[in-house]
Amino acid sequence: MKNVFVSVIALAIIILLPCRAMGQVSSTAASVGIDAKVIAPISITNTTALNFGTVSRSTASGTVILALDGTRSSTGGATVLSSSSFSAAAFSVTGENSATYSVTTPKSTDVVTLTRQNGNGETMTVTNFINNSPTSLSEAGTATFLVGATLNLGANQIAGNYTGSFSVTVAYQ
Amino acid sequence: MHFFMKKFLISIVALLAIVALPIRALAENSVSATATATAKIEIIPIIALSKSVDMNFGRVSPSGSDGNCVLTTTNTRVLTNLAEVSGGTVPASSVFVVTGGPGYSYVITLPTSATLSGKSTGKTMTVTNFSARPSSVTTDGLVGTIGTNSYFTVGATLGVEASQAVDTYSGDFEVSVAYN
Repeated sequence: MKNVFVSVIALAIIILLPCRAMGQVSSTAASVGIDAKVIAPISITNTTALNFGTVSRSTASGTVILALDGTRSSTGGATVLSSSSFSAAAFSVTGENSATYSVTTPKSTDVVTLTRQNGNGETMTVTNFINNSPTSLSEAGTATFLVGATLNLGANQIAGNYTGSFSVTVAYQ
Repeated sequence: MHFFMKKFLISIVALLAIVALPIRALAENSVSATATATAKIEIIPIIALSKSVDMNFGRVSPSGSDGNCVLTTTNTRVLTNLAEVSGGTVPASSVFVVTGGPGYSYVITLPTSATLSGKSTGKTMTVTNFSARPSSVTTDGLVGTIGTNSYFTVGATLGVEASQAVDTYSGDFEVSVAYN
């Protein structure tokens, strides 16, 4: 009987260790798990790339801005080709119903670099990331949002296709 | 006591079985997630335009009533109420060379009118009805495609009054192109 009792305690300790690590569950058998909340994992998927389209370079520097209302604008020496398709980046989030979450995009001070394909290391930068994410998931546990940014075109930027990548993180609050 | 302990053990195991699974699931699934997106842009060369050939209506003579000289985009001259005069320079449509991103289309902007002034008399004439023909197409139009040797021709109509002073008339007009 003593052996049985020892076994019980040992079993409880082994299994409960990860529980204690979560800081949520009591180590006494009487209250184990009753209050544990099982939440759906949060996940995020990029559904649309950040596409600035086609832009004519110039002797002057300029910017191309993808806004959250789905529009594109330019300043300075950047001339966007109105016929070229463009898009703000789109993301889809799934998780616990109605859960609040936070979004982390590259900060305004972060620089995302685009590099010319088949080039000689020519680069451009993308800055001023913005997003229109809600602060919580829907009752169905979903959310979608856009991420916009500003592309900085250099004076006499070498023509070509430039690509790069950036990450967006969501976390339960 | 033995019976109680056994039951207690079963209860604990049952509880642990129920509880351990979701907790493990929670521990394995992160409470945050990251997705990576592609950012891209295509940069193309500046579109540029340069004049290759000036527009030349040639030499005409008024014939008693107002007339006009139509210069097509293909160097053909059509006279109305004007007389052909031998000699003089060969009539020519204007030619503009376009450079830029290969394969991209461009749109031409033409003036609505231009004024020519007489070299000696200071009298004026008016040029209207400008038309263009990009080298990439076979009809008149304002949209072309940039290739290795892209250009467009420009024609127009010159109005000549019945009493137009004899002189050599010249003037400038401006055309522009932009990516379409």
